[in-house]
Amino acid sequence: MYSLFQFLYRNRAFLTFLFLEVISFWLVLNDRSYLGAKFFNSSNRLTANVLSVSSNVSDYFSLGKVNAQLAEENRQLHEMLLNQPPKGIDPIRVDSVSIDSSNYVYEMLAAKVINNSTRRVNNYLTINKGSDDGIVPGMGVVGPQGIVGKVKYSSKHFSSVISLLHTEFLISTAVKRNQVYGTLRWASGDALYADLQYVPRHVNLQVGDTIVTSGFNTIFPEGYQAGTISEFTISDDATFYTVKVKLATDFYSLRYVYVVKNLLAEEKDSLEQVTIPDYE
Amino acid sequence: MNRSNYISLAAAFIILGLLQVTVLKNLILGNYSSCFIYILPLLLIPLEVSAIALMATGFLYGISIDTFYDTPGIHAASAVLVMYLRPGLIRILTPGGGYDAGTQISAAELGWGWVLSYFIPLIFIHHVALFFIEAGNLGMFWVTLGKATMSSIFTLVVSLIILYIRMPQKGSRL
Repeated sequence: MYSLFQFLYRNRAFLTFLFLEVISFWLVLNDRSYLGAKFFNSSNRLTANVLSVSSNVSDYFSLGKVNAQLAEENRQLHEMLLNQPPKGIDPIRVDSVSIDSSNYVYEMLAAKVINNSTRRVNNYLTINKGSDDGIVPGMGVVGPQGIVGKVKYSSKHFSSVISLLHTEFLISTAVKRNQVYGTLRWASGDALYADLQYVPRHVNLQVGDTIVTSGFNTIFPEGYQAGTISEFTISDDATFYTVKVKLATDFYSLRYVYVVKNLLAEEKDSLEQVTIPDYE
Repeated sequence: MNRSNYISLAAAFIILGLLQVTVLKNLILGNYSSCFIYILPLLLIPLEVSAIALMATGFLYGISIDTFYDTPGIHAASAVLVMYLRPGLIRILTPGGGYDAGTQISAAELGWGWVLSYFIPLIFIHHVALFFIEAGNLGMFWVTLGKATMSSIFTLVVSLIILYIRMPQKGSRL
């Protein structure tokens, strides 16, 4: 017994080292598997406040770019309004009668990006809206140009968001022109491009095809822009195309985002939960 | 090591930590080279501090940096590794007459040669550990090693500049 204690004491530095490394790696692995480690992320209050102050300063340097983005988004919305088919009735009056907000499936919430990374293997954003504003983990996040990510944790006033630029974040998407489904996944490296996987070889693809969200999951609304095909190849023995997609969202200049709340998400997910086990 | 040295060391921890998570986090040269200057105060902890206290400090400091980077455990693991290796390296680098009591880690007392042979291995080991744990595999071995090397050079240069600036004021080094 005595020699055991002596051994432990003699190796105390190494044992402390092992102990701390085990904790560290446990945190690393926990984070990879989307579980736990809830405390050490940037949505905790102190961390988020520091990031918030720092982003308040750096925001002034990007005002011009943000304005240009918002103007472009406004232009698109105006264009959609103008191009609505005339039906001989004032569309605005019809809208206000037939669509009342209790029929909405999606609600959106504007939030400011206070922290963003693009150059790491797995990237995250922090936004300045949290559980007090009704945000819960699992909600989708979209930007003015296209999809951005998914809420991972939320504290009272902040949330941390898994960016589309995360190697383990898979998004169900479709080619808009022919509604062929594929999985969008970022392969690390260049923040402007991601890969579209599992597009079978009989499908006809074209460079420039728009990739939109499929609506199969409850995170993103159907038909939201994800990117455009920039190049694709297929080798003779492959089942699936190798497709490179230019992402719609410019993650370098992302300042404001919208959190999408699917009001029917719970219903859809619980229905699927009930159904799926029957087949397995 | 008197009290004012400990105060300026504590200040270095806070100032360089904040600099790391607000400014340097967003500063990446040529998509390859980032600066992890937060490691500097860890390397400047006085010689008389015990190995266990060193690792505990490294862990707590690393995990704080991790919360800002949204990478639980990565910085903590690398900082603990560096703190574990530190006493051994200092022993290897013992100058001819041994260390005087109260010797501080600085170029003025130990010379630039000593500082370089102390900083280069530890900074490089830290960065290699950091980038490989982040990558999670050896798939892009050379890219990851390249990033670690370029970043080590960046961190080393900034560390030496800070040491040089702080040098002339006797008794209140970082």
